[in-house]
Formats: sequence, C-alpha cells, structure tokens
Amino acid sequence: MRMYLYYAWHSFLGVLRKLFRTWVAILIGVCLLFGVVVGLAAGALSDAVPETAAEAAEEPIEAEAELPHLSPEDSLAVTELAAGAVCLFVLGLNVFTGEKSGSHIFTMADVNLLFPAPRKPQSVLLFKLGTRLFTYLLVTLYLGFQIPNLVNMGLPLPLVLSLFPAWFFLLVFGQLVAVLIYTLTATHEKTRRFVRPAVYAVLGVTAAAFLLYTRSTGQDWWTAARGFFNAPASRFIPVWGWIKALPLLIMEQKWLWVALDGAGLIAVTVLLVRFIWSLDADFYEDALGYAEELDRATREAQESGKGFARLRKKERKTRERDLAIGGAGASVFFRKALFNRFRLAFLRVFTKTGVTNLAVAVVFSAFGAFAVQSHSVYFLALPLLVAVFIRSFGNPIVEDSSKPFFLLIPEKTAKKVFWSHLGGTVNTLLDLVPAVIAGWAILRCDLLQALLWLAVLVTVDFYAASFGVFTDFILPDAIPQQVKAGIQVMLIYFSVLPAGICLILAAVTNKLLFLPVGCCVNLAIGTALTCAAGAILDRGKK
Amino acid sequence: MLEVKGITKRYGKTLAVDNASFTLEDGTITVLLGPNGAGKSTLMKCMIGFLKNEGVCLVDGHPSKTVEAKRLLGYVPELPALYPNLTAWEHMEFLARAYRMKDYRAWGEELFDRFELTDKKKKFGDELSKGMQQKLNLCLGLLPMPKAILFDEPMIGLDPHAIKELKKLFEYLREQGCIVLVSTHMIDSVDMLWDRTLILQKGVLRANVTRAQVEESGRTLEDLFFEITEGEAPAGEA
Repeated sequence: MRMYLYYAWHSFLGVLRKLFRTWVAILIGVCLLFGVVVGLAAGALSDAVPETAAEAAEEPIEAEAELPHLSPEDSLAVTELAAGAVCLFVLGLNVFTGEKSGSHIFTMADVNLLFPAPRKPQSVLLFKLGTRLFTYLLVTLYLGFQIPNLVNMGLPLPLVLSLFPAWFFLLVFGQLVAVLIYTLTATHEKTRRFVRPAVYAVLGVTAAAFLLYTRSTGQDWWTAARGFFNAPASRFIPVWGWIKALPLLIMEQKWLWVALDGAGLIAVTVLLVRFIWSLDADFYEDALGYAEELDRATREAQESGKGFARLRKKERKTRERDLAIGGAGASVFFRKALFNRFRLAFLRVFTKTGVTNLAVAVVFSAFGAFAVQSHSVYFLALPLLVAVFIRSFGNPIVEDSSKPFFLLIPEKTAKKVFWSHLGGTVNTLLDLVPAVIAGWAILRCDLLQALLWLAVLVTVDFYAASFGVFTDFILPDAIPQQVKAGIQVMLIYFSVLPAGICLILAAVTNKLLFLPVGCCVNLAIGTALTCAAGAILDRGKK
Repeated sequence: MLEVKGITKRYGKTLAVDNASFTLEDGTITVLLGPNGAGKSTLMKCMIGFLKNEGVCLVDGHPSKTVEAKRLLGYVPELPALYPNLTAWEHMEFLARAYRMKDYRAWGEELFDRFELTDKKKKFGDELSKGMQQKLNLCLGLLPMPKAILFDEPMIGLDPHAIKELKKLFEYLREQGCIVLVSTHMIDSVDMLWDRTLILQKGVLRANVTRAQVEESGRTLEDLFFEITEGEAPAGEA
C-alpha cells in the first residue's frame, strides 16, 4: 500500500509540476477568470431583473416555456433510470473490455520494475488499475461543476450530492470486474471466448424481458421502463441494484437501508478482492507483448519530436496497391489521407466511420419519421453532431506529425498541419454524405436544411479536430490520457460557446442564416487553432 | 544456486528456446553469448518468469514465478523504461517500497555516486538522456541486491566510466556470493570477468563451458564463439 500511495502522490505532483511549466496553466487561469466574469455578469443581470419584471411578465418567454419541469416523483424516477443505465453500461463495458484492459495499462516501466518484484501478479494489476481509478476520480472532480446544472433541472441537492458516493462505488466495481476478467482470461485463455457472448446474453435477456413486460402490461415505453427497471425489487439485485439505489435511499432518508446498502457494497468489494487474490494468475507474457509494442511506438514518437504513441492493428489489410498518392509539397499529406481512404474503404466509399454514421442516421431518422412522425431535421442532425464531435476529438494528424520527415519537408509547418488536417475533414465529409442522404430520404425534411447541417457537421469536425491537435500539442506528453481528456473537456466548454450560440439561435429562432454563421465561426476558430498548432510544432514542444 | 531445467519457449510454430538446461553456482559470473535473434533475451525473460514456457528455472529451489524466488532474483532489462512522472531518486524509493526494503538509502546513494547520477536525482524519467536512463536502469536492478541477477545487454549506451563501474560491480557481486548472468554482444568487454560462458544459437544452447575449459583448449572466448556460431561446434561442449 505504501508503494501505491507513494507512486500515486509523487506522480500526481510530477504531472502538476510538468503541467505548470507550460502555458496550459495560463489557459486554465483564463478559463477560470472567464467563468468568474460570466458568473458575476449573470449575478448582475439577475439583480437587474426586478426592474424589468413587469415588462417581462407581459411577454411570454417561449424558451422558458419549453424547459422541462419535473415533478419530484418524475425526477426521482428519471434519476433511478439514468443511474441504472449508467451502472449497467459501466459494469458491462468493464466486462466487455476486461480481457484487454489489463494488458493495455502496463508500460515497460511496470514490466521492468514491478514484474520482477516479489509481489503477486494481482497486486501489480490492482496497483495499476488503482492508479487509473485515482486518475479517474481526480478527473471526474469536474463533475462538481454539474451540480448547479442538475439542481437547476429540478433535482434536489441531497440527491445530486448522493450521486458522488454511488459514482465512486461504480468506478471501484468497474475496476475490480476488469481485474477479475483479465486475470481469468489471461491465465486461462480458453475462458476468453465466453466473455463477450456472456455480455450479449445478459443484454439480450434483459431486453427480451423488458419487451415481454411492456407487451404484457400494455403500457407505454416510459411507464413500462419505470415499472420494469425501477421496480422496488430491482434495488435488491447485488451490486447493480445496490449502487443505483444508494442515492435514492439517501434522498428518501432511509438511513438504515443506506447503511445496509453501503455495508453490502463494501462486503462484496472485500469478497471480490479476496477471490481475485486467491486466483493462480499468470498474465505477464500477455501484458509484456503489448507493453513492448507500446514502448516501441512511444520511442518512435518521441524520437520524431512530437506525438503520442498509437499502435497500428496488425491485421490491417492492404488493398489496391496500384493507386498513386500524388500531390506535391505539403499537399502530399492531404492526398495520402484520401489515398488511404480509397485503398482501404469498402467499395472505396464505406469506411467504418461512414457505416457508423449511416447507421446512426437511419436509426434516428426512422425513429423521428415513424415513431414520432416528425419531419424535423434535428432527428438527423443532432445524433450526427454528437457522433462527429466525439469521433473527431483527439489528435487526428498524429500519424503524420509524429514522423520525423513531417518537420523535415521544406514547407511551412502550419501549411503541412493544414493539409494533413484537411485530409481528415474531407474524409469526414465523404463519411457523412451517405448518412445525410439516407436520413433526408427517410425523414423527408427540407433539403436546404439538410445541406446546411451537412456543412455544420463538417465544420464542427474541422473545429473539434483542430482543437484536439492544438491541445495535444500544448499539453506535455507525460501526463495521463485521462488528465489530458479532462483538461480538453474543460477548455472546450469555453471555446465551443460562440459556435454553440449560433446553432442554438438557429434552432430557437428557426432562422437558417445562423447555420452558415456557425460554420464560419467553426472555420475561423479551427483555422486559428491550426495556425497556432503549426507555430507550436515549429518552436518544439515542451 | 540457479538451475535452468529444460526451458522451451515457442511463439506459435517458431521455437525461440529449445530445451535449455544449465546450472549456475553462487559467486560466479556467466556470460550468455549468441548472435542476434539467438533467443538470449527470450531465455532471460523465461528465467525471470515473464513468459509462459515449458521447463523451470529454480532459484535456491524456488520456481522463478514464486514470490520467494523473486526476492532472490533480479533483472536488468536491455532497454531502460522509466516512469515519466517520477524523478530519478523517486524511482529508487518506489522500487525500495516494491521490494519492501528499509535500509536502502546508503546503497542507493552509493550507486548514484558510482554512476554519476547524484546531480540528476531530481530529473524526471523522461528528462534523462538515453545513457542516463540506462545508468538509472542499472541502479534500479542493483538496488535490491538480489542473490542472482540477470543483465540483458547492460553495456549498451553506457559511457566508458559507467562500463568501468559496472565491471567493478560485477566483481563486487561475485565477491558477495551473487550469481551474475550477463547477456552481451561485446565479447571484449566481459573477457576478463567471466567464469562460465553459455553460447546460444537459434534457440539451442550450443556451449556451456568454464573459463578453465576454454583456457585449457588454448582458444579465446572469441575463437570459441565464432567456431560455434559460424563453423562446427567442438564435440562435447554443449
């Protein structure tokens, strides 16, 4: 334990020391200052409200009228459903990815220093997963910023606060489940093939039972979901039921049940740890292979001066070798991106991202058209917006920028960053076109709106990817990915505001003009960030 | 005593190490020689317990994968790998905790002095040069003072001073009764030190000879190495 605490504490201090040597500290400071200024401005505005209250009362506020007002029972039900879904997702995901989660968290430093140490393999694994848990907890502190939002949505403050211990237990159980699955599957490789089918089976049985319940009771989906997933008996289901029940029991002030619930969770934690401890684990070879590969990739990236390690899938197929890359100077990076697309995509059109987009568009558009019977473009645009935003996060040009020749090619660095970046954006456009066409055909929405939203989606991708490149370049390589992601999320909250306002205005006022304005804002910010990223690369990353 | 009994390691259909068996006595230095790809690193990783393999490696009678054996067996890997967010000295403290050591500071500081790392104590792992990382890697391997220690290509990247210090340490470890196994390509660098030589080729242990045996035959270690790896192996040596 002393070793773990030593590592966690000193690594934490090390990250802080490195982080605050860069100008990320200034950026965070500016964001916090911005938050304070906005908060003070909001306070001043609210003070001014009584003076104009009479005028305001005469005009109905459309936006406010549309805000959801939940009754106490509804808010509790929604919370229980959401908590249950999140628990199921986190636990399921940890089982699903458990067979790899162990090997993927070891570095060569762990292999060299900890594997030969006189400790049980499970102890080493628990150490690494514990460190990751600590990082998650640290990063999720920013969830604290959501407390006012949740309270504003109508959730009582005690309920919001009680979500935190539940979240803590969920993270602990998630990590323990991952340790258990990895220890079992890496030691007894034959068990590996049963893990994912077991997850599918549990999800399938749950879905089937829910469908059966809905049909047999004849209730609508919402009522059936409440009746089925929020049934009082569901709170007694070990771990899943106990975790989701914890905030609700606190809210209901059933303190005896809270104590029993907490004691049950602690007891299962202890039992699980003891069981893992008793296993005859031998996963070092499995972990060593990935750690060596990661180490090699990291060294290559560091020697090139920039970029984090990214492992290439060994089974990647190469097709159509006869195509030519083309391009000259910086534009070769653009041509290479398209070359790879046309070489690797199914029928030279459908990449995995394109197929995912198509599936998202078809499912949500069909839901809008047939279940809700609406022709609103938002059934197509919003799910795709989320998909594009999430997928384009990170540093999409790292594959180019991590190569030594990226800096050596005699062109302006910003130009090379731009072309490399543009390749990714054009790929996104090509991935979105079939999805938007399919969604438009199903929804039968306005064609102009659909096209404008396609432009918005592409520029959002450009903006988000530029942001990912920029933040990846300004953040030190050595800080954990989770911390990087946390800082990125915090920074993006602020930088997304201008474009976000345009899109909200377009939705609220129904004026299409705001969409091209939003596109321009995205392009302007994206271009500025791209230029800044080029300058950082030129200067050399700290 | 360190006993290797029938270690065999396969990667799919590739036989990386084929039925290697030998015994290393206390207070001896053994060099493990072999061309690139001979299986030296794989054999060491099998011995330290990183890989799943047939056969067994026993340290004072304990299988190397057990906690008891790990208390006695040390390993210095070929490539240094450090935690980027711990300083050089914090690595030593961390490892001391991993091995549950208490009186390690004096020995740790002596190692830092020997390898000229004292002024680099507060540097982060990723701020050290490659040579410095390799020196720290050696310090970390030597800190627990194990009874048997495996060095995988330990001299790569070291400056002449560090190589001299490392050789002194090999001799010191021998005097202390430790078993030292050194895998290396640099035959010259270990020529004055070794007590036993193992030569591995294509995963097969082709020679297991003592210094006395080689000297009696009137050959040098280099002659023996090239005879075995590029010509016919003399009968009875493996």
